[in-house]
Amino acid sequence: MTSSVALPPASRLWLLMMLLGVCAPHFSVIPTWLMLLTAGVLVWSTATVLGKVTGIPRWLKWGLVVGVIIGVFLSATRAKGLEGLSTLLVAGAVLKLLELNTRRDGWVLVLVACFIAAVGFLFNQSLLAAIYGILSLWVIFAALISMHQTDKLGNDLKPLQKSGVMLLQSTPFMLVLFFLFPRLGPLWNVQYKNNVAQTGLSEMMEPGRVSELARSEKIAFRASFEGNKPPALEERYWRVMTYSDFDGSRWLVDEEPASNDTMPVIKPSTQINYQVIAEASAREWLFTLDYPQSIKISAVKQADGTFRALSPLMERVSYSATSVIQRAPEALTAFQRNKYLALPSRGNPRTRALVSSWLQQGVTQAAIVDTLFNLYRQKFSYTLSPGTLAGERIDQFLFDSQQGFCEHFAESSVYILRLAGVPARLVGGYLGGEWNPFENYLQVRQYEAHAWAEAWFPDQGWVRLDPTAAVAPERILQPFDELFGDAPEFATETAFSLINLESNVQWIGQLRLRYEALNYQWHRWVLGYHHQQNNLIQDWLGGISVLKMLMVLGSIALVLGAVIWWLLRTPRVALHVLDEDIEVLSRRLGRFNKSLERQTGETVMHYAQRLSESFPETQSLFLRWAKAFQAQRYAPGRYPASEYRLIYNQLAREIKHKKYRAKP
Amino acid sequence: MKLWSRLNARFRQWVLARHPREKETILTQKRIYILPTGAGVAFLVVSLLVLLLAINYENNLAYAVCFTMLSLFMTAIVHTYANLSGLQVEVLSVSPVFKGDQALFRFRLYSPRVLTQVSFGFDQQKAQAWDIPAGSNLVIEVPLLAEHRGWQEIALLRVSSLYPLGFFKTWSWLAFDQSVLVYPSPVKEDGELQAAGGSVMEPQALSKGQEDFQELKAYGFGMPINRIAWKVFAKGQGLHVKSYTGETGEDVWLSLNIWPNLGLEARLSRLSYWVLELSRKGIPFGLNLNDEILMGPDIGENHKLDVLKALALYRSEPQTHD
Repeated sequence: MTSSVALPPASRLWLLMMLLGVCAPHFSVIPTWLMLLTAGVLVWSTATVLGKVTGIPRWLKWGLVVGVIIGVFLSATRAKGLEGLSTLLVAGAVLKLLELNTRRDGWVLVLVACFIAAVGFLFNQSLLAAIYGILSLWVIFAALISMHQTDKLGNDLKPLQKSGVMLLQSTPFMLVLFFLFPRLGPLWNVQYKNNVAQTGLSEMMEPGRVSELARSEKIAFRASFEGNKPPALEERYWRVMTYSDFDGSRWLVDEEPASNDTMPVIKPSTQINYQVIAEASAREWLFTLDYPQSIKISAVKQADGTFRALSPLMERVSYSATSVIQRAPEALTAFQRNKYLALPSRGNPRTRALVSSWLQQGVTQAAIVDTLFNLYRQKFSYTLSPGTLAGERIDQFLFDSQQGFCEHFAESSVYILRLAGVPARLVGGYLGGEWNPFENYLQVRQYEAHAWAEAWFPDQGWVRLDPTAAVAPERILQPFDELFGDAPEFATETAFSLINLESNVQWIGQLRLRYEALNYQWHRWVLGYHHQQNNLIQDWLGGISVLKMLMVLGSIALVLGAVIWWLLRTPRVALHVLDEDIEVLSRRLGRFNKSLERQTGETVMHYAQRLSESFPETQSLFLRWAKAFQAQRYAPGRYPASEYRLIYNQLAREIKHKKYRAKP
Repeated sequence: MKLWSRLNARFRQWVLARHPREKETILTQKRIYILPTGAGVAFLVVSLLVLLLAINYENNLAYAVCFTMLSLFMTAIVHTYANLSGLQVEVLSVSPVFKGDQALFRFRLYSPRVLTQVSFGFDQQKAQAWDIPAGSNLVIEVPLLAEHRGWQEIALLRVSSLYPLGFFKTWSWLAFDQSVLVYPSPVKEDGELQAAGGSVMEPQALSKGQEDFQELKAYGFGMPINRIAWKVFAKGQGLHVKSYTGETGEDVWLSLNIWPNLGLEARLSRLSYWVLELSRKGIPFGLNLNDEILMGPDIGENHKLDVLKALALYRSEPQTHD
């Protein structure tokens, strides 16, 4: 019965606006033909509602339906996961738009719109997307309200107002649900690769790989530390992976899961606890501060002390970890020793000759690091654009160009150490990070990617060797963007780099840090709330108890009660000062006898006449008062106000008099 | 479906037992009922789908959408209820109707707050929605099919509203103390109308008889305007009506004996027709119902209504709605 009610024209416009609003974020993922069709149908529907065109012919409608179904079928089978869902939903909504007559049609459209709005968040979870989402919901419910009212003058914006009020009133309960609803793991495995490009370090290291990253100011990850203090500049080595297998041109990543007995003993005093929010990278690597001890996320610990997530990070992931500054000595198995000494039997003859000459001169294995670093310090320079090296790359770097980026130094160090019989490996990761003082977190960007070496000595275990630090200590002590801010190779991915501009205008930097701080909080508290929830509820509520649940429920009831009171209150009509006189009079007389109250709609003169019938002895006073009242109220200025007051006061005194009480 | 209508009937019985019939009612939480509609349930299902989406993709913004939908659902209860609460409904007088016509029951509505699209309708009849302004009276007419001759009691008035979101339907059954007088429905059938002297009057003769001007009568309320003697009026002698008689020159008696082969209701219907017809023509008529009710020949609106009322109430059972 009620569902076959025709939709008011204004509500059709609201529904169209709603649909445009919720579909717009999907335009980037749905096929182009569907996007054009959506736009076309929306324009046509608007024109129909406004009476500019007549309805669509039946054959065309059915043609469209069949065409869209075939199109969606073809697109959805080719699309990756969620894009197919988007296509399906948008196409369904557009088809429903062709048949928008009754209230039931409107309801269907609103329900689909709610779902489309939620699916939109799977593609974009930024702060702006969330604000847009709120606006979408606002319009969705405004459209729903407009379906249940009439098109009358002055009703145009009423739905929007009502919907806003209702959403505001729903917020407390929504927050409680958001806060307390237990976050479950996924119920079934969903694969959605929504175009996360692989970024960051790769499982293969060759010169140029790291310096390529220097062009990217994308954020790799953010970290916040217990005690809100970042580690010292020279301690900010973020370990991601190690490379051990060298085939003469490339270093391949070390893939050896840790065996349980290789856990080194740690000194508790040097522990650092921190939390990392890693950006989607489509890779399994996890970022940990050197040297990681444990990590709170399902991940595999590697023998080289790094961690791998069980699946590529397709979205932002948050985890907490513990690291130590000093590492306990570690034993090396025979297998590992061979692995970290292996080199191709030939290649780079000049380097081989140099190392054997050092060994012949009696340089011990322990002293070879110093010898090498001295060599770097004396003759080498650190640059972002080392030029291309081909063929015997390490020979060319060491003897010809003698300038390079961190990867060149690290690679040649490992090569030389292995030639000298010292087990060594290349470490890939990040060095540095920008401290955000507003929200106390360290932000590490892709251009801070770094490569260094690690060597194993029997008495010390693995030791970090950063040849870059020997050549260019400023790389460690100075922010990377300050160091290379002027280099044309730095961060050229974005045409207009904010970071470049910042060196000139300081407040932009402040503004950027503030915006990033806000974004960080957004990621940490809203998007990553499922990681925080357990701790937070523990901290705030100290576990769930009956009393606390009652308090929560009580506060919900309080809010609901306030809403009910607000809704059911009788709005007080603002009275004219003079009108209050009648009210007072009527109330006073009403106390003696209910029938003496002024009736609704009774004019002052009628009332006065009625009263004077009950009290003939004061008849003239009543009538004088009514006349004075009318003169004052409807023609102010002609009659002296003091005169009116005089009469009124006399009347009021008279009424107080006992004689009125006895009268009926 | 059958079970549903039985439950519904039981429910109305219970409502009636709870609240006595009265002239004026204020809708309070004692008599306002509220239940989710199909759309509301569908909305809940969609919010659960969004929840599933949020759980599976661990997407906190999708969670937020789901929880917004759920808490809005809760808020909607209060808002829907508020759109009916505090409404005052007073039943006003109702004009008599003929059986088979719609009796227009009039109600005076008053609400301290603006109420949007409140539907009023009698049981199983189409409802109509009204916007009720704040603080002023609104008089509405709600049609009810007049099915029973005589005094027909007002049916249960169903007041309902879906505003603002349509997730919930709030309604109330109102029982009022008011009845409508239902005349027999007029059915045209010729017959031998009896003249006062006992002679039979042919209907054909009636129409012919209009030509025979008899006398001038002073104008009274309800007399046919087309018979006013304007010439006399122009002479300043006041309003007069030209009166005619049939060939017999006598008044007409309407009685149940004219159609001996028909049932009581059918005969009353024919009499009802003739009352209207004779009144229209301005022919004085009397009524004789089995000698139980005798009304002397007369003319005019009041006479017509009296006769119709007599027809309506003749051996009629007062009709009530459960």
